[in-house]
Amino acid sequence: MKNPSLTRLSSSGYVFAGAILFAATTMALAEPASIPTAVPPATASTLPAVIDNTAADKILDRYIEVTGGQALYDAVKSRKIQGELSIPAQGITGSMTVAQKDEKTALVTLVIEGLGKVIQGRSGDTIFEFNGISNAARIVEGAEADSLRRTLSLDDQKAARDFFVSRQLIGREDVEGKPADKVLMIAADGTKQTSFYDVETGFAVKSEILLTTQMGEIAAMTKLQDYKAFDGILIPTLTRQFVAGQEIVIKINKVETNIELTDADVAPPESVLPLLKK
Amino acid sequence: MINRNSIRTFAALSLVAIFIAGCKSRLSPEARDIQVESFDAVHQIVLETYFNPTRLGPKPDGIGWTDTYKSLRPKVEAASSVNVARGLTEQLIASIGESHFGLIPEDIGPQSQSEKKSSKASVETSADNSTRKIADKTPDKPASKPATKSVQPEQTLGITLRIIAGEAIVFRVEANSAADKAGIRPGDHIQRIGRTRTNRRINEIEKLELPSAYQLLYLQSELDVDEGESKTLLISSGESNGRKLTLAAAPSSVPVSKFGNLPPIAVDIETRDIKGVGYFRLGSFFDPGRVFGVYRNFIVEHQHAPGLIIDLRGNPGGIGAMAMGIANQLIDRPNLKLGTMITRDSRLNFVLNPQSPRFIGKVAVLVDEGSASTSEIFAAGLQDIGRARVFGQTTPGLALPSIVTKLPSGDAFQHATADYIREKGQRLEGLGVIPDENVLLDRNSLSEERDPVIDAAISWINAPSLPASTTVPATVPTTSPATLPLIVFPTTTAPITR
Repeated sequence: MKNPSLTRLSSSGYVFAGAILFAATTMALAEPASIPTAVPPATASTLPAVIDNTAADKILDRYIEVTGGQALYDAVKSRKIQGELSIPAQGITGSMTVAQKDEKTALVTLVIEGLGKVIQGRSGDTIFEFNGISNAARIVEGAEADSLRRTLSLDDQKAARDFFVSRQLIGREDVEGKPADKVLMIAADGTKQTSFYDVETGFAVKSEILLTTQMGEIAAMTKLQDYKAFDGILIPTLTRQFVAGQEIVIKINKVETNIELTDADVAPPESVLPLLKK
Repeated sequence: MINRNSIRTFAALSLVAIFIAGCKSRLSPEARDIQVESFDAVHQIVLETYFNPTRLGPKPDGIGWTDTYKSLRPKVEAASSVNVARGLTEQLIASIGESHFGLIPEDIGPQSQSEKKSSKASVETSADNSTRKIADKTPDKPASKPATKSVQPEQTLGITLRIIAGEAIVFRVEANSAADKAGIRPGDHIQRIGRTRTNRRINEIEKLELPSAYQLLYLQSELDVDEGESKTLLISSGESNGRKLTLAAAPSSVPVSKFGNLPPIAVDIETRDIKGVGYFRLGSFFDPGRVFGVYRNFIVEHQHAPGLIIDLRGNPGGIGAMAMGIANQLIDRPNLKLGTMITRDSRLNFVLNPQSPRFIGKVAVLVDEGSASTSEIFAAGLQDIGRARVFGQTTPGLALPSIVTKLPSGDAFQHATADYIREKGQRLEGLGVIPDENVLLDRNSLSEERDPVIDAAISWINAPSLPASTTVPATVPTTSPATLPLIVFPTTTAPITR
């Protein structure tokens, strides 16, 4: 089954944005410079001997169904998302804009009060980053770039399913006091992600992942809440991500689908342009 | 200029008694509950985020983090005032014995003379023995009043001090400040500030056995002024002894930055050309947009200079990633890092990404006892990869990455969430950065408008044969924060900074 693009908002998209904020703000404490992505390393040995995705795919399919249905997802050809970021305990706030002009052209911009901009994007097959906090423009490479290509794809759910070749229903756990099905997804290279789907509603409510930055790996747990409809598709508008003892809150205020985005909306920052020409 | 807010916070975080002094309100039952809740939160936050949980277990005296918490909690429940509750919370925090742990009171800010007087009285009448003990060791200090919410320029007299041979000597004078207009110059000896004899004050401060960074800040805080306030100084300069000057507070020209729960922080940047060598001085690691804008222009203008001087003396630290940002334009190859931050469950490398424009010539980094946290990470990192030669004095070794979390009481709790390991493998905490060339300031040089540390850096830059950092500094500890009496070492990345 083809997977809808907007479901990305329920998982990797949020993880991505939250991780950026984590990276940015923890720097304030002498920490990372780069934008973490979900690319945990591992070995292929973690793949089960016999892959049977049937049970897990039923849960993933149900998620698509309850959040709007495949037809609505298939119709998304471009998208713009606007939201807010914060680390409430630290008094840190910021804004987030995600512009996806087409499958291979996207830009994520975070503006953090007192720190400045962190920008990450995709231009064709190239992933780039500008971090105004660590004064660095770079082309993202390797596994980190592979992960971002998936995350920045309009159809990232399909990309994710293609990537996570093994999907297993491994049990049921309570999330926020309600039972949730636990799905373990494993990629050919051993990358793992665990997602939890509310048994009653079918919504994705939690994920666990190992974020990988240029600087190293960070474990993150994300809770997805407050589903609201945008153009008929339900997405979680509140994401609470727990990274290194900090809670990072992401609120989505506005989602526009199939709007006309200009080149300027997805233009790489000036400092990245010379790198893209190489 | 040293940032007054930094000094205030830094100093405040260091000594419990200051805050005990600063607050006079009695606790209502509701307010007491909030203090208990905050006390509990501090305990829990450390349990959940401290980078090395094993260190929270019993110490040689058999008492661990939770033991201390349990023993103090009944006292917090019975606290008669915010002052006492804060003091007990500080006492708990202090039991960790490392830098970057501290309580930043919600009401931190400038304080009027009358408030200072009542503060002292408050300390003297404190009923709590533990805080009394601390207070007894504390020189009377300016404390606090409600913080300014908007980002306003600091009020200042324009003088930055250093302790040289036991005397309070003017190190820098802010251009167009009251001090500048009054003719005060580097090398001048401040004998008295108001009624305070500085030599006696320095003696008192030294008896606290705090790291030199704190001693310096306590002395500097004697020059803190509020809007409309003035201070009379007795100054000797050269052959002119006993000149009495009254200076009025005026807004500093140094821009102020605000980030998260931290109070506003001045970010002083100076660039100039000294005998053909590029000179870049950074007062704190905040406001990356402005700092990197100036820095990029500086690099462009000095790309063909024989060398660069990065002056971090008195820089208390700040945003850790900015250390990488400065270093990124000083390297021409990838796969370098400044060191590694180790949290409870991860190892994060301070990776460098070479940027253009870049400077590939000699780089001298200047440090002193006031260069802490991010400054230490930067200096140690470039020293370890052989990219810079470090001049000046050993840094304080206050270098734990930390965050600042708001407590239910409104106070902010700064707590270290990671350790920092140098590229050569040593901890920075408690050890500091040992310069490749140890150079001391002296009054005569300053009076002659010379800076021996800058002079040493220029000599090295102009000497054709000497490489950057060839000698790996020994790992001889300076004063270990863990052994210090009063604990709580401030900062975020910046001892001074919080």
